[in-house]
Amino acid sequence: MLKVSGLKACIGDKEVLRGLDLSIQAGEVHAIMGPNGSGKSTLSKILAGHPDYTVTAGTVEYDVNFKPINLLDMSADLRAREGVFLAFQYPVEVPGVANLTFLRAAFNSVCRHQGVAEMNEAEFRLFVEKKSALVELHPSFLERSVNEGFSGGEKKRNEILQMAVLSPRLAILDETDSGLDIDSLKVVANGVNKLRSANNAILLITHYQRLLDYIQPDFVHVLHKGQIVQSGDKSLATKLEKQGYDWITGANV
Amino acid sequence: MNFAADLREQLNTLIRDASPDEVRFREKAWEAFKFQGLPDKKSESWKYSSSQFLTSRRWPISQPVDQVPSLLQAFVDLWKQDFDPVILLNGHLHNDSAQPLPEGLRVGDWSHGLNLDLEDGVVSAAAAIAKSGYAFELRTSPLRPILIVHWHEGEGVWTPTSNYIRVDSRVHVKVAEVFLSSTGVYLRSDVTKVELLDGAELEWVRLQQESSGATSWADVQTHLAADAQVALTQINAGAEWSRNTLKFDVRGARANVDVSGMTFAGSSSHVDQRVQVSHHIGQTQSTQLFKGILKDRARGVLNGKIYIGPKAQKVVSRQANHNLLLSRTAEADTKPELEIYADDVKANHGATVGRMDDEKLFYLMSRGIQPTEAKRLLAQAFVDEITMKIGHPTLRNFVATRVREFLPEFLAEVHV
Repeated sequence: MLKVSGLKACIGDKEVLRGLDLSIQAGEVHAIMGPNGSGKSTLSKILAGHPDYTVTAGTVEYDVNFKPINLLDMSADLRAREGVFLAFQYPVEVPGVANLTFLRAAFNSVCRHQGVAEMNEAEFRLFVEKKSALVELHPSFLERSVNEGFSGGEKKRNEILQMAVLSPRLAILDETDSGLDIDSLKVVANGVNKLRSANNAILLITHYQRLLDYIQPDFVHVLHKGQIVQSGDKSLATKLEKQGYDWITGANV
Repeated sequence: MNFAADLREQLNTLIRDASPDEVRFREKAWEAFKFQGLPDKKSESWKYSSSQFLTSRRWPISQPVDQVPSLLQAFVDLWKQDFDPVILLNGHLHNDSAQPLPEGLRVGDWSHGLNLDLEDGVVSAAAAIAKSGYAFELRTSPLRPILIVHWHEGEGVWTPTSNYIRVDSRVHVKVAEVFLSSTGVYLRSDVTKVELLDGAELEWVRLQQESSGATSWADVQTHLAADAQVALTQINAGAEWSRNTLKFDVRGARANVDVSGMTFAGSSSHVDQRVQVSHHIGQTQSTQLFKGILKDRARGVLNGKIYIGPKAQKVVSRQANHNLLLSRTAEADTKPELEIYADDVKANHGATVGRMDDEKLFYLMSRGIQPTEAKRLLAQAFVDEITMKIGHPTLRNFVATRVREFLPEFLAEVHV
């Protein structure tokens, strides 16, 4: 579904990714771990199409209708309509735009793109209220401005709500666990697990192993200095948790 | 022939069969004009705009229009469920027997003329040759909101009007006033006097949607007695050059002025929004909230003045102006003025000028929303604060609907 090859990227003059390779198949859950500054968030933003990053080398292939196409050629909004979703590490507050309006605009954009009938406001409201229950977000949050005045946990739940509404094929969760208390973490993890299927893939980006106790990954990768330096199964995460990153990063210096 | 001579000639024609009230009104304005002359750049209030809009070409007065154009009729039909409509064609009240005129409406009333504030030569000239637009004398609260539609037709001509609203004690009125035209280059000037008696309440929206070639000038003078309240929302969404002065003379205890507005300007248009709230008496309040979205090479000016006289203790007055610039060449000039002679007052002002937030745009786009739609959502959110302030649902819906209609088109050609 996704094939990243030799990806190099920079922000400003600073090279953040230095030849990254990653391959993800439908139905798989991958976790990328790594110390601060290793390039984890950069990877997620590049995959989502953030304009601040420049790709200097490499390719990103993403399957659309079972054919690989160059993801980097697509605008951020088109990527989203083709099923790429990024749950933001720091969800953006959008004062004055109601959460429901935002969700419906997003949902209908995807519907139009995929040739599916759009929902009217009443239908959509019912649909979203069911999805809100999944992440235990009270329906009153739908009337509020997007993320404005939400607590950290509410923002993260709102990200997963958006994911549930858009049902992406490739969901990238950028440090969704950061700043969450254990209850919120469980709710968010539960929401993600319910969206897991044979047709979609999830890429978890995390600093800690904690999230992986609740969302079991099929593969774990360690990112260091803009490259994947180690890959393995879930046991790699456990090892990292016990031994820290030093045994990998140190070996690589 | 120069402007003054042209003006006098117009005036001579107008006063030929006029009532004594009307003659007094016009001659007083003419005398003021002769004394003042047209303001130049040295005049502080004409720092950003030039009075040459009057003299850059000759402006013959527009001809009467008999028939309501179909475009206008369609507009009125759309809103007549919610409003009692009043139509002015090139400044003249259109009397349609099928649609009775709202109660309190009078024709040919010049009673406001003698206490009009003839601030400068432009106001005086516009008043001197004004047609009698509408004159409302409201003794009871109308059951429905009033919709006043000003329609202009004719190329290269000037429609000058003078209007009057008097709201009697404890009468409550809702008015939506809209300025429309067939396309073209023309000049519209509009001098309006409003008198709010004790406890009168006026909720008012003024929507300027002139054609893109138009020059639009307005001077609105509102006088508030004790306990009177005015909530005015001014929307500037048309004309190539416009200047709009909203003056509030707060003369009665506990009177309250709430004025807000939005400006949408593109290409090389010029919008000069002036607000002046004068508190002459204590324990009165005013708020000013203006927002502008400017694109291309457009220029938006906000000149907001708060005057608090020596006797006006415990006045609370606020002013805010926020601008969204959609291009590097657009310009927002914001000029707050505080003139305070009382020592126990609260007066503050603030202004911001910024561009559309890239992080918000990216966030919306990352959910599949097209850039044009994302920009529209953010622009809509920016001005919704003004719309949401409108208390009466019919007026609010009128503004929300009109803004929703023109906003996508306004944003369409933006290259951020």
